[in-house]
Amino acid sequence: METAELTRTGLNPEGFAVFLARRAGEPAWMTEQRTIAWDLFQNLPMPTRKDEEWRRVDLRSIRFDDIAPFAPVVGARSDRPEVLQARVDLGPHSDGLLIQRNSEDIHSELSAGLRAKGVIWCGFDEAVRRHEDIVRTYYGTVRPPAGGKFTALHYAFQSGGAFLYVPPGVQIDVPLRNLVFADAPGFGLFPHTLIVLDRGARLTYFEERVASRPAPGARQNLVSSVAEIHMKDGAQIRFMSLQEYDPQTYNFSSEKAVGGRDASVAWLTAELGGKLNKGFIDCDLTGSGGRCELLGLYFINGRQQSDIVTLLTHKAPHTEGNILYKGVCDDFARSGFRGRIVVQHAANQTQSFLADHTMLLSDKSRSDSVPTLEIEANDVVCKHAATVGEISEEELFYLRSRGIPEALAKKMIILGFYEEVLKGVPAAALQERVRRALQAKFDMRDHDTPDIEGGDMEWRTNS
Amino acid sequence: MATLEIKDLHVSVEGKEIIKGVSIEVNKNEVHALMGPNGSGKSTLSFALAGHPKYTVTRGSATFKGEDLLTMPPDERARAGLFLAFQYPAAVPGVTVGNFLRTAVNAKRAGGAPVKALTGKDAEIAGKNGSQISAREFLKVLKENMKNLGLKEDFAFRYLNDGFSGGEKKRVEILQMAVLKPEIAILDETDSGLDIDAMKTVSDGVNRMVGPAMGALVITHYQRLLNYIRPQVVHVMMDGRIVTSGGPDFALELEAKGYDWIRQKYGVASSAAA
Repeated sequence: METAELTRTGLNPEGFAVFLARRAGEPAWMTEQRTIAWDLFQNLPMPTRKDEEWRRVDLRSIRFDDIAPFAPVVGARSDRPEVLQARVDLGPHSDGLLIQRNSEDIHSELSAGLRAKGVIWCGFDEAVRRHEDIVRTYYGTVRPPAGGKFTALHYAFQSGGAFLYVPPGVQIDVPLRNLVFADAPGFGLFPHTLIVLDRGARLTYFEERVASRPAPGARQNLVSSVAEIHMKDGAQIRFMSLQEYDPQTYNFSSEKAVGGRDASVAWLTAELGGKLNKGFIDCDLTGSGGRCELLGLYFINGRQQSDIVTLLTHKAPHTEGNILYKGVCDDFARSGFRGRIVVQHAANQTQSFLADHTMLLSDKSRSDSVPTLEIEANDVVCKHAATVGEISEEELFYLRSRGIPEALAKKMIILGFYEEVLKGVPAAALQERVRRALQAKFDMRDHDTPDIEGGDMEWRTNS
Repeated sequence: MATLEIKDLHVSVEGKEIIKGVSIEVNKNEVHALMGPNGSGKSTLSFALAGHPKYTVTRGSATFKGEDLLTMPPDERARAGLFLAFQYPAAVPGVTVGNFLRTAVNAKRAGGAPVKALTGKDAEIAGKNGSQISAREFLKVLKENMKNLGLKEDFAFRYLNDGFSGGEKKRVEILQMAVLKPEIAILDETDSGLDIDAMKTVSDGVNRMVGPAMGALVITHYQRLLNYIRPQVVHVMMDGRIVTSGGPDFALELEAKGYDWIRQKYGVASSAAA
């Protein structure tokens, strides 16, 4: 009853009231957090093109009243639609699997070995119930609700997501896998990922977010997710995320890792789906010896848009950083990249690199890049580079001169373009999984009719 | 009819005529050397034959096994059995030598029908018509040929020409030729940048192939390569034309006397360099 009511309401005061009533069993601090966040959301202005970090994004077409704050599972939780099962079967093989369908957890498993070592891994809502103290300690601390309008929206309507705690020295080399699958029309999804790696813990993690393809003219969907990754001294993470939402989904994400002394981060975000992806991805290196590879790739076509803001902050000496993004835009797709490296006063003997490279496959695709280096320390090596290009004629001719047909040669060059980024997360099974997703996107793109009726969309650029 | 038959070929690059009427016939079992000073049009001829889109044939004909070569797209020319060993092969980052070459072999076997790009571990491709080479079979062929050319096995997993030395690039060109087994190979300055040992290895690779199954057109600046790959015919190209041809010893004469006497004899302007 309440659930049905929820799917009819929107992201509006009525929807919030119904949503809150449905979460009645939650701890009081959580309810309070939601109320504060909802007030924030209502009071914060909608970002416009005048806001530096939003200047390429048009949010006026989002219909908040049509997006359900909670998307329930239709039918029994144990029922897995064929598409979902096929997705699960794609792998990678994992030591723990969490499946969320729409806004609800439907499957949670962790190997006995990891359980015995004290690893905690479950859906976020379950973690609030069963591990309240640790969740409360960390929740909302590195990505607070006041961070932005869509972050506030996330904290108001949070449901689902994942919680992981890895005890000191425990090493997880077979990946943990978190799959979020959406197939409800007009869904709003607000999953929260909270990862706490204790001293010297090591984690390999794969996150995939996917929505089944809707019928033409389907309702809009909206996702606003937050990920918070806390890494104590010597902790290491290899994190790969793959996003394959449908072309009706507005996807907002706000993610941050904070690493202590000698912490090591290799983090790749692969964005293939969605109507709009607006991602804020940050990492702070707070202790000496910290290292971070902040990596991203995207492959967008039709009228997809991807707009990424990344910030890597060196707060301590002897830290190493590298931001590398590579993307391909076809048809009318448009990408924006704003990368920033900050080397604070104390962070001497730091080296850090920032690069983004975009390949445009059509005359109507666009890409903008704004790299920024802010260096307050004296003894640092810091560089940036950005390129926008097309498929190299010479490479294409070379492959064709060996008998490879043009379309296949192009595909090889494009897929090859991403390899440098994929190799940045040294976990072969995860690399291969994303590689297959890229191939699938490439093949589908040839058979898809891109959403191009209505002629050339006019891109307004302030830059 | 010759395997490769070129008649009165004229080629322009960006509106400028570089090849001004070349006729040449190359058969299997034959080695032709094409010599000449810098800028005489030797590389332009090879690119035009391979089908580079920047090179426009304005007059004349070229047939390959009796078929009109000039109407074929570059990949079809290759699948028909024409091979160009590039002077400066392009680097293709992210595409390994092994996957690239196996894709090329499968493309040739499929005769231009769609084949799947092979990347990563995605090597278990059966192919629609069952004619595709298996990963195991391919690896065996590749390893054997790499060994012959003094290439370490890890080259199969390196990105194509990415960070290769000049000599490595040339060896990998010959490796491709050995695996793809063309009927006519055009070797464009394959000796440039090679030391004597490398030149010998590369030449051995070519000599192993020349015979009833393959003929070669060897483009070179210097005579020294022709000590290792013995041509039956030596052509001299100047200002976009073949001005004279001779037997195997003609190359030695050219080495000793240079090109000026030919210029004078055939009335070619010395400002022909482009």
